[in-house]
Amino acid sequence: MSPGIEQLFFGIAAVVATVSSLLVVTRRNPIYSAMFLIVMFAAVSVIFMLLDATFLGFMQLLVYAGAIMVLYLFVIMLINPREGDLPEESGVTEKSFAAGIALLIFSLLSFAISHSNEVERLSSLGPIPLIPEVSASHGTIRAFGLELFQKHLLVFELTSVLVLVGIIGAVHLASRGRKDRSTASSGAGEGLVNTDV
Amino acid sequence: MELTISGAEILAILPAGILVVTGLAQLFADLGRSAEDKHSEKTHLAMIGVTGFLLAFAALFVQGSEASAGELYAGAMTDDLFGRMGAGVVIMTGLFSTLMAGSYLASRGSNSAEFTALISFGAGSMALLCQATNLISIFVAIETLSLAVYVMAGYFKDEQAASEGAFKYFVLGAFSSGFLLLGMAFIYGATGGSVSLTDIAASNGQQDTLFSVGTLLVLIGFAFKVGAVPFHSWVPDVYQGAPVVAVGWMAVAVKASSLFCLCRFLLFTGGGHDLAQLLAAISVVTMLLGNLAALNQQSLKRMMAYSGIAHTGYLLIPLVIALSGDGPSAAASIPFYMFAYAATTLAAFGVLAAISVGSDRDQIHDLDGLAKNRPLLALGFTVALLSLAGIPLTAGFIGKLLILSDAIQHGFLLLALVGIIASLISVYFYLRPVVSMWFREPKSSFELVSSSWGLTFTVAVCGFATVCFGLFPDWLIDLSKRSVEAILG
Repeated sequence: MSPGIEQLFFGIAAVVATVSSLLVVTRRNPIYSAMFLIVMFAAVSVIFMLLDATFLGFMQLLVYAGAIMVLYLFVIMLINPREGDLPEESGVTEKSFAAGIALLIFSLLSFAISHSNEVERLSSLGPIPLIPEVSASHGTIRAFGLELFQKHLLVFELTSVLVLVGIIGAVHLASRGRKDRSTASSGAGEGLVNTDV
Repeated sequence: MELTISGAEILAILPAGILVVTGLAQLFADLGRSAEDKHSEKTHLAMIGVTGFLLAFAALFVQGSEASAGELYAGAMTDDLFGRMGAGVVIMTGLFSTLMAGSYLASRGSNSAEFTALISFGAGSMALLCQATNLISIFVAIETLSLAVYVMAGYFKDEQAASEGAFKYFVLGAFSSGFLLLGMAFIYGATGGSVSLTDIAASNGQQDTLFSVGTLLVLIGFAFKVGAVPFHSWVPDVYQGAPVVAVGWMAVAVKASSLFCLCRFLLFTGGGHDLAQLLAAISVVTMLLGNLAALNQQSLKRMMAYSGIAHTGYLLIPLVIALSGDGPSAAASIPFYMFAYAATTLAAFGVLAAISVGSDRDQIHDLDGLAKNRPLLALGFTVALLSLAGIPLTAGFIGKLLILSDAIQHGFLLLALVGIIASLISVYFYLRPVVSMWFREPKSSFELVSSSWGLTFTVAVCGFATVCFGLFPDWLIDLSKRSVEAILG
């Protein structure tokens, strides 16, 4: 791909990602927020692909925009919030406080990037290529798998403990004791009997 | 390329591995038990836990050399005395927390294997965190231990205070993890794509603004985990809602492992521009605010929460000194202080667990007349409180002495002065429960957790250790000094 088109794609993806993530936090209805989050994930995956991280880009699309967001939408629809359940529109002071904090973090980060010698060094290499030249296997499944199971083996194994802890926690917090369950079901039974009568 | 794992790598991972297996064993041992069992003490869980923790502790001694074993698992972790001391604090804390958990949870009617298993899994990842030497393994270990602690904070899921505390902790914790990760990404960018601490130390990107902001963000992430001001707001709420035993566990183990990791991180990377001044400011505010806010608390758990915040402030002083160019030797008080703090805090929370029958009783007047009914518990609690206040003959005194004399020696007079003033303030609120235990009459008949051998044992051993570290500190101080010297190989 020629660098001009690459920059064009990057510009579009960056604008879409920024605008849609702004919309995620400003919408009151969670369904809209979730929808814009999908758009944001898609835009980020485009940026990943432009960086030659093809595998990561596809994973972003499949796992985040696909699987996880569908789960989000299911949860939101199961809860089915009505107008009254939605949080109150926050006041001007709260909004300006949040905006102030966000601005502070933004200026800190942009200061860091604009004053960085490393960034300057990289950009002094000229606009073409935007990123350092990478080998052909970069970002492929094979390269990714080799990194994962050789260099980062320990972390990979630790991640399995992380997931296990997550499962145990979810099971504990979501489970209701046997006693609770029996009273709940008997309560439901009574309800049925009453409606029959 | 072939996958090879050396003997040193297996030895390094042994403690953490044993702890994870222990957690699994506890889960399996509790399979198929009926729900009514939740009122029983389940001694088998404690037995598995104690065996596992003792084995893991023994595994720390398997390898003799103190110096860093170099990069293991392609730089993900190392094996040195410093890391092993951190793991030692965590493992001992886990051992006593497991001992206390059974009778306490049974008295609350919610004893299940999840709790002890989460302690074991958490301890495994904390042990790894103390030895982690690259940004990725640090992050994953922190996330694993945080997840375990979030669940433990909300363990009493039917209680509103517990759910509120756990939810706050979870949301703020996720937020701080974001900062941590962003900071790591900045460091990665500034140092030309290195994740290993050794590579970061060797790279020339440390003068870069990217690097400074990166370390600042990483510091924010850690400050949240150890509860330093201004990232402390979750601490009192979580301490109040969580099970007492879980509070004791997280107060010591999370703080210890995060501080060991932060210490290693800062010693390796040297921090960015002006990080020492910033850290000094955080330390001063944390010491003052923690102690001042604790003055007015009627709830013992909230008092311990603010006391924990204040102790974080003291623990940041050695890091400030080390960052200001006086080298790693100034950080030597951290391992000693953590051992002292662990013994002291566990003794205190053992007593708090023992008085929480049926519901968590944690008002100071709940302790009235404890000395007449249970002199051993009262004695243990008194020793713990004196040690937290820094009264001589206790471990807490030696810890503070090390930190403050280091600060004075290296010319950080303001820090030392604030530390001394803060300690003086703290004597007032630490002595209130002591007065209530020894000089007041009980209002009604005293009720304690019925079969509390685990609790009594913990209070006795930890109280004894507090005095021992206070009377004979030399060997531990020596060990701490050697461990810090061993960090950089």
